[in-house]
Amino acid sequence: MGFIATGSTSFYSPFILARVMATMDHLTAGRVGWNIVTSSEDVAAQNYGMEALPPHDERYDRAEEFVQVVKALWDSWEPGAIVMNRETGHYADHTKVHRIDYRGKYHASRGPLNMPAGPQGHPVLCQAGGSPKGRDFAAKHANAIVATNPNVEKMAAYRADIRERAARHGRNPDDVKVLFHAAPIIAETTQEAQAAYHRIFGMDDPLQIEQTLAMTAAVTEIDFFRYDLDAPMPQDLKTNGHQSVLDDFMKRNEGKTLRESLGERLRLGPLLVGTVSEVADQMEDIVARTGGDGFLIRAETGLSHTRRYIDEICSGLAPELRRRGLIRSDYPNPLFKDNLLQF
Amino acid sequence: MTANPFHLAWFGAGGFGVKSWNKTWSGRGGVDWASPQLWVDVAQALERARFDYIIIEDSSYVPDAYGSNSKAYLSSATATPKMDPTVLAPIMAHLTSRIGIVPTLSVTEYHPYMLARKINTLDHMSQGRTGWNVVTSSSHRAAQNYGKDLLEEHDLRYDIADEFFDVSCRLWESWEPDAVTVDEQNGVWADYEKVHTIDFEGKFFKVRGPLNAPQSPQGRPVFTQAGGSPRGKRFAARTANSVISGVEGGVEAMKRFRDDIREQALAYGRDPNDVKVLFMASPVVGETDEEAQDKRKRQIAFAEAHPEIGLLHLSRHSGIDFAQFPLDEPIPDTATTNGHQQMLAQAIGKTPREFLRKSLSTMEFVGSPDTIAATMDEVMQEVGGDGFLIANFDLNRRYVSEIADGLVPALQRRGLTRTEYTHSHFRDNLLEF
Repeated sequence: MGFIATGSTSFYSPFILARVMATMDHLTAGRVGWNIVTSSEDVAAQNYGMEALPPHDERYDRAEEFVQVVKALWDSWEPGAIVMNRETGHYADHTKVHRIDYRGKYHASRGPLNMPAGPQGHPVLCQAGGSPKGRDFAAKHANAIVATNPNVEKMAAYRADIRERAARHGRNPDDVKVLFHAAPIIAETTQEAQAAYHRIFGMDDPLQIEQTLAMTAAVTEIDFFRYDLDAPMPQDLKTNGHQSVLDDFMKRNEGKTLRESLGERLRLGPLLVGTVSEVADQMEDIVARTGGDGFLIRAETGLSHTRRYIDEICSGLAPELRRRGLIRSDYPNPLFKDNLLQF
Repeated sequence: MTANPFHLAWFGAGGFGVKSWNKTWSGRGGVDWASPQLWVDVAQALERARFDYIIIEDSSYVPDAYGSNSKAYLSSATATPKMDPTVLAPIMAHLTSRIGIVPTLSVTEYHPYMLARKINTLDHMSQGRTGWNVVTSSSHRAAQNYGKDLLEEHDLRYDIADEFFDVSCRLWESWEPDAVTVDEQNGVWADYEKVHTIDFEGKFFKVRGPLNAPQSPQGRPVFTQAGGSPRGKRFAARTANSVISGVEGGVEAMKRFRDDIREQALAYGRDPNDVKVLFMASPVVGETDEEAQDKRKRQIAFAEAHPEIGLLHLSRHSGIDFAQFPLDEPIPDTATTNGHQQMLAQAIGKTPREFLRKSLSTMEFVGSPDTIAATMDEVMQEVGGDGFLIANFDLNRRYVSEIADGLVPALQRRGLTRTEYTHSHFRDNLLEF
């Protein structure tokens, strides 16, 4: 199994990030990935001595340089640099270990990395760009893109757009897997599943409302506590945070009340509710209509990361998908990236 | 008469990289260097021997100081490759239960928020057994990997360290100890009124806070430090729970060093007993004294046959290319450095070859376990405390076993080192005696 850790291009130094990822790639024998984020909250920036984050598009310009430095550091030891001659005591060949001498607008590093890259060379790169600039960055670098779309039409359009952008960057679109957020609600019977759905997304419980407002505020940097829950959703909000998330949230809920919108907000992905077999049908349909590439299961607030939920997915849903031949039944390759790009 | 009980710790010299790899007892060290298993085995052996802690040394550059290129370092796998110690530390912590785990992190390479967060995470994961070996870095090469042209000047680095230490402590204490209430009835996990911004604005850093995780079991980690220069000692006396020293000049110098640190700690309003000074030692253990002495002779003969290996370290730490000095002429006192002051001072006036003869340890401990235990007893009686930091540049499992299963039981039989961990937190054990 692969493990993907999130690291921000706004707060890390490229050298530390390259080194941490390479170390983890060694320790996992080639099963690590980096979820590239640019960060979206000014309060986070203030922990790192900045007044505010750079504007949205500049964050991606910085991220672009950051990724260039990191990749160059991973490539700074040529394959075969380690010769390990026991008799002569010659361990590594210094002519195969190179400085990178990177000097950009935002980042600089001399190099080389003080260790060879791990078994994958470059770990799996994962990204979640939603804005045009973010999508372009993701299409250029990522092996896996995670996307949040509430319905099949948007999912299909998003994937087609990413693949087109990847091709424009000279990449094989099949090397970029688009995985859609999904939070299936699974129960023994259809009725039980629908009852669970209402408990989670009904917005009857004040505590649930508060949690949802807090979570929404954390991502958008908009304090929704100021607005009337049963008045129409505001349509003119601006943020230096996740603007694409905020725009989507407003547009999607035009005409609805904030309370109704919050239910929608909690449900990040498509509606997947029912028995194991019903949910498998719904997922099969989505993949057939979007063209690929899979799902990123994410237990939302209310479901939360309980062992019970994970078991519903792993022991209930996954075996059904496997019986239908829709998901892998084994890992043919030792490296995470090779398995990801296998189909 | 015997010395008061003293502490043992281990210095993971050379960090998380290639350890012993082409010697008789290297095992598969050259191939398996990137696996955490050697370090897990070492930590478990040392826990069996009731060591207080293990430091994972670190630096973040491929050295090229000796001979002005990286050949000698990469050829001999000296000081490179080196992987990230904060990735290794949680694995070691997870597979042990009492020993302190101390990764090395530099104040000129990290931002305080990121460092405070990492250490806080590790202290949670290790349930209160995390330390931070505070270093300031000593090479321009490291600074250049982080986008700077040159490393800050020596004393300025310690000014940065002072402020870094202060802001980190504020972050570690930005959640009051009882901020996490876990009130399941009312759905309140944490009390936001007990989580505070720190709004720190110093000369070097500006940090809003709070940290985005609650206070860890120890609150602050255990601080270890190795400052040997006057400015470095001042920083250590103010901040460290354990000072590690490679001071030369035998027992008198060791005693002077410890007395000095204790006096300065007192001047900062601290209890001198809260600063444990541990002295570097690389005991050469044999079945008999003769065997151990033969082993030491072979070590010296090897070092003399390969002078460049010993000089690599001096060049790297001092930033001076020792390949330029003839092997048998005294190193001139005109040599200066912005790197490791203390090490250069020790080398001036000696020929490179003489310098090589000095062992890694401040004094030599060669003999059977009982002989070494008796010598350590005498040394500690004269110095006054607080113990030893064992180090070996050619780390293998056999050496660790000689110490953990040979020397330490001999020390324990004499009542000189701990036989149990009294407390569950690292700091409480360290400050127990």
